[in-house]
Amino acid sequence: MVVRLKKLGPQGHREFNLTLKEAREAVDADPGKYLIVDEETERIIKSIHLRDGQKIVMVPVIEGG
Amino acid sequence: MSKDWEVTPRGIYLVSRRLARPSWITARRRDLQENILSLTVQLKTIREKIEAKERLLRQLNSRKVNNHVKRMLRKEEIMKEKSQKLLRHFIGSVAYAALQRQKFITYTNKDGFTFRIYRDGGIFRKDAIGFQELCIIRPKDLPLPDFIISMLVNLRQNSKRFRERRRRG
Repeated sequence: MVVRLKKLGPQGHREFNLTLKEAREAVDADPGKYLIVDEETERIIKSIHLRDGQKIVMVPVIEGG
Repeated sequence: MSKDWEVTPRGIYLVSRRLARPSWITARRRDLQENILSLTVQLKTIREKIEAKERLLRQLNSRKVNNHVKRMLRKEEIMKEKSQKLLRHFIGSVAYAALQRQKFITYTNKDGFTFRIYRDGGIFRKDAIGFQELCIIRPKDLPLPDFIISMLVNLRQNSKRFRERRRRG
């Protein structure tokens, strides 16, 4: 089982198939820069809530001026 | 200095003549030599600049660069398609159609704030007067559909950190 991760960024969104451990590491790599959204429920989640087979989207945190 | 009259079909001209002293001649010669030297240096620099630009243009017109440009444009095209697809999935077909048709979608978050998110990336919040534009720093190079998704998620997470844009005048 893998976690399907989409990361929104300057080059469009990149897609990765990662193991649960890799996905957690990817999510925790840039703390405060991305919000994690479950693609199916569209709820904002935390890395601890990741589970196998989940599709997630890493959305950049937008700053207010 | 002596003066002569010169009558021509176009009019009468007063012509002045001055004695060219050796000091004036040598000074004038020196000035001319300096001018010619300076212009020659400028000409050389301009020629070098033209050659450099011609070289760059030749490189940019090469087949290798053309292929790269084609590849990058295709990549951008795919990127846009993917972004649009993700946006449609995220907001649903109805809202996506509305965004295309009326150029904005309306979103109300759990705190009760209503927002208008425009197709061009403008974000407005409703207050007592009406919809006021929010001051938002758009991440550089983030495709517009991805930015709209990001804004929806960010507004859902915490909309209070976005202030209204100050009005000028």
